[in-house]
Amino acid sequence: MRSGPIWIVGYGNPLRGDDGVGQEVAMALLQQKYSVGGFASATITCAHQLLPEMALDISRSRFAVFIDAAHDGRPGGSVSLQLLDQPREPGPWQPSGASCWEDFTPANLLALSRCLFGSAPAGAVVTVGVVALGLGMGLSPQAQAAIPRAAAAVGLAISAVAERPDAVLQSSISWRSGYKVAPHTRGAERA
Amino acid sequence: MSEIVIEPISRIEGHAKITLLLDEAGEVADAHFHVTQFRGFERIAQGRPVYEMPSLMARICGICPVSHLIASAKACDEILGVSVPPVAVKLRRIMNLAQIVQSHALSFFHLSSPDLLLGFDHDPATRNIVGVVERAPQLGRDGIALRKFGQEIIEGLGGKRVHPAWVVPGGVSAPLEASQRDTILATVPDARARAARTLEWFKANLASWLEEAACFGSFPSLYMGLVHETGNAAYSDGDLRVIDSDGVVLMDKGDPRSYGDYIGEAVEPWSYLKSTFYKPLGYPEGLYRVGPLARLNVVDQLGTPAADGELAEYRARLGRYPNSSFYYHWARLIEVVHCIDMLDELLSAPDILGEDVRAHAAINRREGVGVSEAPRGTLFHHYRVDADGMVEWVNLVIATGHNNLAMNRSVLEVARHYVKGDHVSEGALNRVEAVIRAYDPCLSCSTHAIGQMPLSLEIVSPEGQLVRRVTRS
Repeated sequence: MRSGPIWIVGYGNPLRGDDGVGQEVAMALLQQKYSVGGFASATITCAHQLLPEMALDISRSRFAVFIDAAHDGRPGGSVSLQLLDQPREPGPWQPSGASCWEDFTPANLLALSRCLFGSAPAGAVVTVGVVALGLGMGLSPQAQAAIPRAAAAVGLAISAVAERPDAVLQSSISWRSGYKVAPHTRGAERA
Repeated sequence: MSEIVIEPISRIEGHAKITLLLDEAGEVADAHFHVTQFRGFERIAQGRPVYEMPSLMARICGICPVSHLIASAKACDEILGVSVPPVAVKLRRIMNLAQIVQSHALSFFHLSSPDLLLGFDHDPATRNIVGVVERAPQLGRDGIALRKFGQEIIEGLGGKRVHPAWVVPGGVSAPLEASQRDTILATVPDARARAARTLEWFKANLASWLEEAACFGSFPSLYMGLVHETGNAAYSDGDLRVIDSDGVVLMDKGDPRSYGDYIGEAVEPWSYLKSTFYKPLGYPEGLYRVGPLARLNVVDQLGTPAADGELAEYRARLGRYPNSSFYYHWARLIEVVHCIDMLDELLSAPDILGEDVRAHAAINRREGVGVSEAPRGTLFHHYRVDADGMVEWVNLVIATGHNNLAMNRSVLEVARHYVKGDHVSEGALNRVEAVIRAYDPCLSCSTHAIGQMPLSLEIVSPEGQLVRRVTRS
């Protein structure tokens, strides 16, 4: 079993409406950490976007969680959890579909960690369906209401996967929690 | 006259395009570097309380927000009429130095190293950070680590990496804690080693880029930068010095407050970026450069042993006043070494944990000018306020604006060397872009392409008919 902290990032642009929900979920987790001691072993961070510098911290973690908004036609406020396999094969890093840092995906980052630092954990992506990505701060009521469920999904991913690295749990997570496990796609209207 | 257009330019911060104008013989007759963004911050700030200005102005850019924080705060300091506590001056300096490290790391490793490592003619599909990681993973690791080093200092001090706060009118909002200082100091040796390793790699490969170095903006010009009273480099304070390409000092100990006496601003119809010039020599003869190349030319020395050792080698190999903009890359790496040294010095001083970090006052002056050295060059913030401290007027002279004339001339020089008629190789186009990248212009905080941004090139006949279109996506 890998050692190191759980690494969690909530990312997105808080000046573009629901695009900021990832950061809001991360801040909710931070509140839990400092108020009731939840996620005690986690490093929780907020960011505008995924960056290659994160690959170093990820390589030293035992599990990585990415929290993001998703504009893929799902109902606003719906929560999705996707599991990412640990990159095991050595080889060149080939970011799929990425032409700039704004398109950097969680899978790219895990692969970059493996390529550069020889080590990468498995991961999970928790996404919240968006209602609006217009200019301005503040979440839609649907996205706001989804924060506790998204935080719970993070907790579920950590407890079910990080603590049981050898188990294939995708279907069981779907059954236990009722969370939809879906491919992670970035919104076409990402700021 | 026919025209070649490169739009957008890849691997720069922001959006721009280049137009090459061919004469009847197919030779490049003229070139323009167009900045196609309009930000409007000088108008947005009007009517805002002056106390908001540092935070507001930091939003100009996501790469160098600290530069705007500091220049803005210094303009506000003047309006308040305060003397910033010495500890706060040092703390601001620390944040600025950290930003220079991370910004230079971004420029060198992520934006320019693909050309330098893989070659300017390398397959564009992998002439990007992907290719760098594949070919030289250590270079990739060093770039990531150096950017992380600078970003984490900024985040620790200002609360976040992008658009941090903490720098305020009168000083900074909180003193440095011992734990913060110790955390940063613990990362200095690793950063220093990575910077040194990268510098050695660059020096060892200089012979690979002789042709580019000879035509990447290799012309005489003036140079401007902040200099400490000791002749050392000064990134946050000091006075302005302007020299010519032979080192003759045209202005020394220039007061930034009276920048309008020696810096003129011209507006050209083909770009939203203003062109500044040295007024005594007029426009456009007063072309000057700022940023790493200029700073290393205007200072007497940097002020730390390791950095001065590198500077001595740089000057021994290139001459006392190198003119080629290609050597911005080398100068940038030397500045990384210097900034790390300075961070170590400042953080190791016993007074850095002092708690007197902010001076408070009401509005005592109706006008203030703040100047700072951003990673890309000298930055001015100039505000006028009413009696209640509401902003009435703002003028920003951005670092990249100082280099606008030089960038245009550099594009022309490179294009004349590599572009012949309507035969335009991909490598030639890349070199035209690369000379812009050498200046590391900061046009906004947006995309950081990894080499796959779309490019459209059109060659139009003198009659205005499309002769040829080349696209990449």
